Amino acid sequence: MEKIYVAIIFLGLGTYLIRVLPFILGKNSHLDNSTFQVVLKYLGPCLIASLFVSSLSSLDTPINLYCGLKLFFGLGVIFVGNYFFKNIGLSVLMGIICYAGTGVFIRYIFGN
Amino acid sequence: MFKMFVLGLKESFPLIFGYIPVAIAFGVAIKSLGLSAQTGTFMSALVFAGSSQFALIELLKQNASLLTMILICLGLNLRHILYSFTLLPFLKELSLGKRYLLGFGLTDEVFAIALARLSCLEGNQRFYWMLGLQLGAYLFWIGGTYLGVVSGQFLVNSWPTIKPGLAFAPTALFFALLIVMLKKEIILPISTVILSTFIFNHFDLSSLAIPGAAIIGPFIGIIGEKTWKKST
Repeated sequence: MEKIYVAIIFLGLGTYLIRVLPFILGKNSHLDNSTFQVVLKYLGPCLIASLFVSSLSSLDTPINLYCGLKLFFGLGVIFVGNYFFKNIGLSVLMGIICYAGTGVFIRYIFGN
Repeated sequence: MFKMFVLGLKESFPLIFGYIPVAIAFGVAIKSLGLSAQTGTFMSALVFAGSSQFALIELLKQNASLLTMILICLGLNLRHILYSFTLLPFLKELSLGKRYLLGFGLTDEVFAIALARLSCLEGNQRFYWMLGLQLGAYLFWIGGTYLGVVSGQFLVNSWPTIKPGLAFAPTALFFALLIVMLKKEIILPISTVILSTFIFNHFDLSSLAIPGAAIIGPFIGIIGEKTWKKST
């Protein structure tokens, strides 16, 4: 079987177990202990921060003022959108539209 | 009880705005890797976790090992343990079978809506309402992925301006998740991880950047926490 299918199956099973385990084990399980909670507190945000930086490399290269402005406005709108609407999906959508829109606007104003 | 299920389904509609564009972007990313519509839809149907699915795509691009891919993606989903613990008091009177079922669809967005609504419902109402909510979210996610893989290229060709927007989707999602999780005590480990990831990427060691973050981040966080406690 291809590597990706093995990864998907393990990821699917693992994700399900992660979500359902506290429902089965309840409040008094060892998963509730303080060391585990402390590691958990840092692990998620750190992985997401690293993925965020890694995903930047998939965007336009080389880094210049044009892509810097798009990124600034795109991320800025996500930040503001999330502050006002408290909705991840909606703020992501607004950020995507702003990112694409800023690109079109800059090209329109300054040409290619 | 059917009324509760329909109510949950209705309350999942706002998720369209969040799920569909991200799912389409995921579908396009799947297509750009040369994977089939079946593979993309299969992944969305089985995993149902946007951030780890995008992470898997990033790791596939970096040609990471199978073990690294699984551990990193599962590490990303560990936060869901906290979601289940938080919702447990509302759901503990349900039978184990029902809780098994509800565990599958506990995504970030479902958790946020459920946390706000579950206290207004009682007993079995909670089960049927959550089932409706999760089913709606699940269908939007799978539908969006399929749409992205099948017609993503058509959408991009018809409206070329959306192409950079779709490429930006994973970055946007990770950034949104990051700001939601941002707290004072996390700033130091996150700053360290951002710096370390830049350094790993700069020296063409991108496959080590994310596993490195999984070790460096919590380590710096725990050390920082102990130092802070000692000084106060």
